[in-house]
Amino acid sequence: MRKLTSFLLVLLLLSGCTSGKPYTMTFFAMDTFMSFSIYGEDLTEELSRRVYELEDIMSETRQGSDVCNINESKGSRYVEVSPQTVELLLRTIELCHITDGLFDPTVGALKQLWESSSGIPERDKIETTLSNVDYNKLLIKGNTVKLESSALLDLGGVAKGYACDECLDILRENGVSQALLQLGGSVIAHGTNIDGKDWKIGIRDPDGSASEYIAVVQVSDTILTSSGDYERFKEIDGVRYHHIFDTRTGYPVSNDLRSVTIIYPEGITGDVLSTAVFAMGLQDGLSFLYSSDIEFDAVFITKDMKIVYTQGLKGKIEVTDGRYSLEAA
Amino acid sequence: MKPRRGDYFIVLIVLISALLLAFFSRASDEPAVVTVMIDGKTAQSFSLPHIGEYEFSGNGYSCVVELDEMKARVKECDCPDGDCVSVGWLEKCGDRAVCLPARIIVCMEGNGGIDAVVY
Repeated sequence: MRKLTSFLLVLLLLSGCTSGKPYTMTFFAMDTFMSFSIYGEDLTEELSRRVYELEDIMSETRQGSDVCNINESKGSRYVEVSPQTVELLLRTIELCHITDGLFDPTVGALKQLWESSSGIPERDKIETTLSNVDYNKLLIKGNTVKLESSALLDLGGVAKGYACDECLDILRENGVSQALLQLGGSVIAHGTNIDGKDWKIGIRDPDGSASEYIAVVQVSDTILTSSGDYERFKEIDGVRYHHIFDTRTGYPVSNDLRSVTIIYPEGITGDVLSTAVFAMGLQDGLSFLYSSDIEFDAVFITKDMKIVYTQGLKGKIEVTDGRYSLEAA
Repeated sequence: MKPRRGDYFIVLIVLISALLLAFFSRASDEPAVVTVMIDGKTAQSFSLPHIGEYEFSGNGYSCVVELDEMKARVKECDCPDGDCVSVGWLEKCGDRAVCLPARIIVCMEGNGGIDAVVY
């Protein structure tokens, strides 16, 4: 009987542990806000320091950053960059090949053209700018980089993904097994939650604010990244233009999708795939998913109010908004 | 050794305590606290329900946060984009309004709901 009583007392103590508080930090970096909750060890300072370091290297507006130095050299010479930039660019170029250039980090000038125009830019300007968008002109030699065209490098589409991977490495190196990190729109669901269950992550409502969601997925040990038509949009004559460009046309992506969420345990890959698959549209995106060597899950939000999910999410996704219907791919 | 009546009593107390702890650590989606953070640091927390209007300043901008019983919103802000105001009322755990120019975050917190939103 004493053994049973002792067991129950231990059980009671353990049940008390589930209410243990995580170490938390919220801060602004990479033009967005970040929020960390880490269980077991306080790594918030170390992680935020790494994010700030990466921001210093990869910002396209901060003087002296690798990206600024590459863009300012205008293809005249190879520019010395940090090992992190080389690592990120090599992986990004690899993924550009895989996605047939639907993700391309040399879209900087195209973005600037759209952002600086009060209306829709003139077609010939779009075509001229687009003709320079080509990741093949990004040359890497050792720890130096040259962009051989008048295109501009923009790592905004992958820098947060790379930061996710770096943060995850720090968590693993320090033996932290449970953490939830939000880097802008990307979420690292590391391990399980404190109850040993999957993390519950909302999929953003494309018509709502950044904290409103239309479905919830239950996941563990992965990274979630979304691309959608809701981010950084501007309206011209009542039409909404967002910042994800179709590298085939030079215009913002326009197809049957509102957003795509990629669920994959590597941040850079998730970032690239979310942009590229969003540009592909539903059917081509699913064909790519089934034929790709990268085994990832995805949630597609369509313009006709469907939430289409891939097989790995069966039984792990629920709709929380009655306007939408759920459909397995 | 035969269990005595006192042993059963202890077992009962332990089981009831464990159930109560489990219940209270998994409360409903209803938010318990509104937290206002400026530049990553908690400026003020309000236990809900609460009614009032409060002004917060960050990075040269000012935002008015309104609390109405169990919900909160950024009512006014002199930031250039006004995104924080357009979010409207925050009502569920995890709901938040972010003002990037002012570096102010208004966040609904509690014990239930979802863990994060991917966007």
